[in-house]
Amino acid sequence: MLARVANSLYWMGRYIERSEHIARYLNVQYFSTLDAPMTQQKKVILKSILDMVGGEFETKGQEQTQEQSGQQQSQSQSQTQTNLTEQDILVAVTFNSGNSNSIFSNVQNARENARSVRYLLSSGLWESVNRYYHFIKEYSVDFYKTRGLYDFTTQAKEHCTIIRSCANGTLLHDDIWAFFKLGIHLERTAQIIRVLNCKMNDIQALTQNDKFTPLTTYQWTITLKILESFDMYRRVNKGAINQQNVLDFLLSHSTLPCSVAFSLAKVNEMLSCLTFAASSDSRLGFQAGKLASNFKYLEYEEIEANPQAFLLASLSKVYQLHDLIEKEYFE
Amino acid sequence: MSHHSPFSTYKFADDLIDEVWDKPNSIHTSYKDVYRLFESMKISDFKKLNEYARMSFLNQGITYAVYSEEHGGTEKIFPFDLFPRIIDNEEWEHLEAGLKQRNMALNLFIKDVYNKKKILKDKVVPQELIFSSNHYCKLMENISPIGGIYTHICGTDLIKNTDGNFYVLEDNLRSPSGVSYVLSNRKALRRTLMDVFHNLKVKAVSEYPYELGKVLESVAPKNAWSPRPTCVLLTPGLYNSAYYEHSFLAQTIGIELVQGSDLFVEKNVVYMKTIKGRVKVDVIYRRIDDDFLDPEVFRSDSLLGVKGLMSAYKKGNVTIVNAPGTGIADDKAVCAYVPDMIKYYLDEDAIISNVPTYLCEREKELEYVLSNIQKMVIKPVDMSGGYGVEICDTKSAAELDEIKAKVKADPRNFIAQPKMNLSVHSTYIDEDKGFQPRHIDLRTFTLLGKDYQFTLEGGLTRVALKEGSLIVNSSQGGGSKDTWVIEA
Repeated sequence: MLARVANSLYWMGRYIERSEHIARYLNVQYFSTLDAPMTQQKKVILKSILDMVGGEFETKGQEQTQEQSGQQQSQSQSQTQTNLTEQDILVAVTFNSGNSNSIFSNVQNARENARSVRYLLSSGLWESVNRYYHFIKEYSVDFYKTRGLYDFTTQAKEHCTIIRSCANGTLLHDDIWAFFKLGIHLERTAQIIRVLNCKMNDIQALTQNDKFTPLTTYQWTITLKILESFDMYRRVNKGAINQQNVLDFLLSHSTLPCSVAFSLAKVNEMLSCLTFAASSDSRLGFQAGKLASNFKYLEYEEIEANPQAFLLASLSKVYQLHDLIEKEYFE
Repeated sequence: MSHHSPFSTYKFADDLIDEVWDKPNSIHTSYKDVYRLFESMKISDFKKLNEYARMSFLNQGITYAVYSEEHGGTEKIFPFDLFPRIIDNEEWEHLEAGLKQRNMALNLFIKDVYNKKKILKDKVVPQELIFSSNHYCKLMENISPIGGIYTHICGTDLIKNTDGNFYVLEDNLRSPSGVSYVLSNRKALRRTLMDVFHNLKVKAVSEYPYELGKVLESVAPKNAWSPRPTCVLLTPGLYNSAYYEHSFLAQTIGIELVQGSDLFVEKNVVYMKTIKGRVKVDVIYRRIDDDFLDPEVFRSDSLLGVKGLMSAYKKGNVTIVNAPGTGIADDKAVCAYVPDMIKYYLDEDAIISNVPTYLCEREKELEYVLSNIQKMVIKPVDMSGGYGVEICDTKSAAELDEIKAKVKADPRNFIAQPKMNLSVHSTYIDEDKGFQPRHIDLRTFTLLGKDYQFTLEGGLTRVALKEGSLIVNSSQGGGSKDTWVIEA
């Protein structure tokens, strides 16, 4: 396989996954403000949406470096976020082609990467990515602004589900599939951590660190819903929805697909499909295994003092993993 | 014809050949099944079919992009017409023999020109014509490509004139494109008109990628990978207007789609960069022009090519398909000599005639062209895509003077042909909510491998969608039709 092709497959996976997390974040966060117990919540949540999509985090390992991504660097979100209306924000994070982090830009990037490797894909997979792109391009922005946000984000999620299913169901489970899935799982790992960090910011802003208000419980419920893990949480934890239980569940549960531990296990699984290529002096296998083990055997007490510091440190470790993958396969 | 049928406003043209109609209201036999189907349809049904075909192209990504800042630009589908063009088997066999004969002679001509130059010494083709061509490639002198093949893929454009005969309009010997549309059009039509396919034996086109793969492998160098040589398709990249075709062919042949930056040359061997390290490349089906192939010897600013490729080629370590320098034979002035080449190399008469061509660089012919300018179509010798073509009977006196001056200033660069009236074919026109006659031509595809020849049965029928227009190129408002060769 061409090194450029491997790079495109990997980024195709990352961009698809990223677009889905933004769609889910919007879907749950925005509607949570409509039946919120407090009115000040809306402001906080809109800021949170902007943070989730844009800046706040280091961007290293977030952007495709190859010239083939063909995208112009956009202005950073934080420069423009002041004085935006609610509708402006909702449209910007979804449709703005000048914003490299918008859902549209992510899907466009995913499709450009898919287009450059489509001769290796099943038509089913290619067409599902292509349809996702046309779905967004043709979606009425006016309808989205007024009544379509739920419909749009739900359909976006469904497109992602179809794409993953086409990849699993129609590709050979060989290195082509593995690079695509590697992109998906690495991105998912990063996005779960980002979601948790954003939500912890929200909770702080809304409750001033009072850990046991009904609002805190409500925000942790939303967090679970953003990661589509609420139903499974109830099966596992009969008790309270609180910080410790939710973080435990989303960081280290071994069979929850939207947990960091599960995603990192998948990253390792995909890397082991690709080991034939790894050079002997590579740190990639070691680092990926170590990071996965950290989460698998994580105990809440280790991070209790400052969970957000732990999240940010972990995120940069994930991006370091990306750098190693890039060095190993794409250069 | 019922009053509400999609044919109720059809404008029959008396002075043109209509492929579908023998005479007004009398359908050509081979079109009966298709006509019966369309005639029975309501306009709304037909619109639905049309929309279905459009969506099928859009979802498959058979589009070309028009980029803009706003919302990522738009994408367009090459217009596709649902009414297929049908060619009888007998007529087709005649054409196929003619196309194979022609490509064989063109190949021998190019080989001769870059080696012994016999045809030039014998003054059958004037040597100034060759050496003055922009496409003459000095580097190709005394190189012998594997199997002696230069024109592995030849795209010859045919038209049917008012006299009922097919004529050659031009040959495309560099990177003829369009074959992916033949295959995609067939797929779209099978999905939409499946019942017609039950009744008619339409010859298949789907084996083309397999045949092309065979051609590529047949010309692999001696030191190629065995049992299967490594063949690749070299594309300029994602933003090339024919990218869909490059991707489609790479996928259906089953070879890697590479860009210049994926390849490198070391010690006269071409390699591609893979995740497992380097892999030797044996055959390059290139879809970039000669000028961009190798910055070391051609344009030094080319980012699309591979440095050192030509020296690897010279050493016989890699095969380039089509060979560099084949452009000399698709120069429109050289094209006029193809019947002479056929006689010279094969000792046969040309099975398909050329459109009569006047070479402006010959004084007498120039004189004739200038004094009969209103009847002429003037073409630059080395442009494609319908660019620079002047159809003189629609021009004002002032415009004609301008054209004359242009030709006189650089006669080598122009040829003239009498205006040939291309045949017309029933074509769905949305504004008219029904069918209308439109001019068509036929792009054919002939392959030449080592000891091996193949012609795609049918080809790409291109249709000028503007009323009265003779320019069928997609870049100038042309569309395409599926083309059926019907078994007897």
